[in-house]
Amino acid sequence: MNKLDIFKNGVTKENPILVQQVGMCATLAVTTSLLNGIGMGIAVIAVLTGSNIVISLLRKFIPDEVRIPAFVIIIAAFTTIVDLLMHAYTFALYQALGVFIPLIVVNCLILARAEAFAFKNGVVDSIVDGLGMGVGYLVAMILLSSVREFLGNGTLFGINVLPASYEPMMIAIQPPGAFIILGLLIGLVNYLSRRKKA
Amino acid sequence: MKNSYVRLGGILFLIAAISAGVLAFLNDSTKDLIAKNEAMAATSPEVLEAVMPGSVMFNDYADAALVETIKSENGKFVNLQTAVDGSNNELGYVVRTFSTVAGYGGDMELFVGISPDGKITGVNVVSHSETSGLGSRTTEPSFTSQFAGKDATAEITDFDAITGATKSSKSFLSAVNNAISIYDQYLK
Repeated sequence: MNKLDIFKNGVTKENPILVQQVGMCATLAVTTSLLNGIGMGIAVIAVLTGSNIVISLLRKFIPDEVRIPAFVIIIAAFTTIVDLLMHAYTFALYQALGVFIPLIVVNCLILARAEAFAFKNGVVDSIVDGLGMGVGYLVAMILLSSVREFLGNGTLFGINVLPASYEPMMIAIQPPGAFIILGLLIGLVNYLSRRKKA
Repeated sequence: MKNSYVRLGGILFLIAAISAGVLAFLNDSTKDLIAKNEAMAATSPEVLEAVMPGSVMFNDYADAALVETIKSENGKFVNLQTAVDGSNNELGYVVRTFSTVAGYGGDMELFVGISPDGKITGVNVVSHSETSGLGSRTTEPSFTSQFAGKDATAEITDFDAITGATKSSKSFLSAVNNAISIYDQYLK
């Protein structure tokens, strides 16, 4: 597989949210506003790419028997790094995302890429895979959070884009709305990809 | 067999030790900035103005023993401070407390300003984990301003909750009432 294919694989064919549907808890929880969705997406890209690099570098050093605990330690370290950096440099976003930054550590997307890709492939391919999957995650987060913020608050990036007379569709930013809109989004993606094939 | 366990444990130990080292270093280099962020967020000019109009600073309460007593008797209480204006005149009390009724994301933490004559001067949310766009609207002035001017001598029961965020609103109210009970019990 060449590099472009690996990247495209993460964004489209195996998009972590819209196709693989892994790591849903944080996805559903933080996509109440576009800014949160983008912030979370970037945090995941950082952790995913970082842990992919280190795991790929150490793949000959880590014995098979203890690879999972080793992955968990490395992923937890990167999550904590991102958590500390966001706490120090992007404080407002850190407050908005709250507990979901530390929870990146249990996002199964990251462990899945470590196990399925980084542990078996070279460093450069692993970086590309991390970026591809991360961008795929970010794109899906942007789609989901912009629809939810638009319908549920009448705003985008906190700026009013609909007339004041618009009555916000409250359910869109409540948890049930997250499931409904994500379901519709996945349905749309399936429809489009099937039509393309036919 | 035994040897391989030692080897596996050793490798894991090594990975953990290096991770811990990196994190310790990063923690050390960011902790000042983080503390500054937290302090600024807690007492930015907007917060000062919202909690106690005219104040420029919150000082530690003079009677430290009383603060300790309240801490030991009221589990949700965080701190008691005095708000002062530019020429160091005391304007009133600032009670920092958690809510006694949990919201959707646990307890909310509030500053409640109370004037010496027993009126609430203002309320501001220090930290919360309520749903963004719903429960988080309890942090907005349109909601918090309704408490300013209310009597701090009796529990508040009558207030306008935010539509769709009743649980968060009630959690918010419980923190205000905890501040009122502290005022009534120790400061009146």
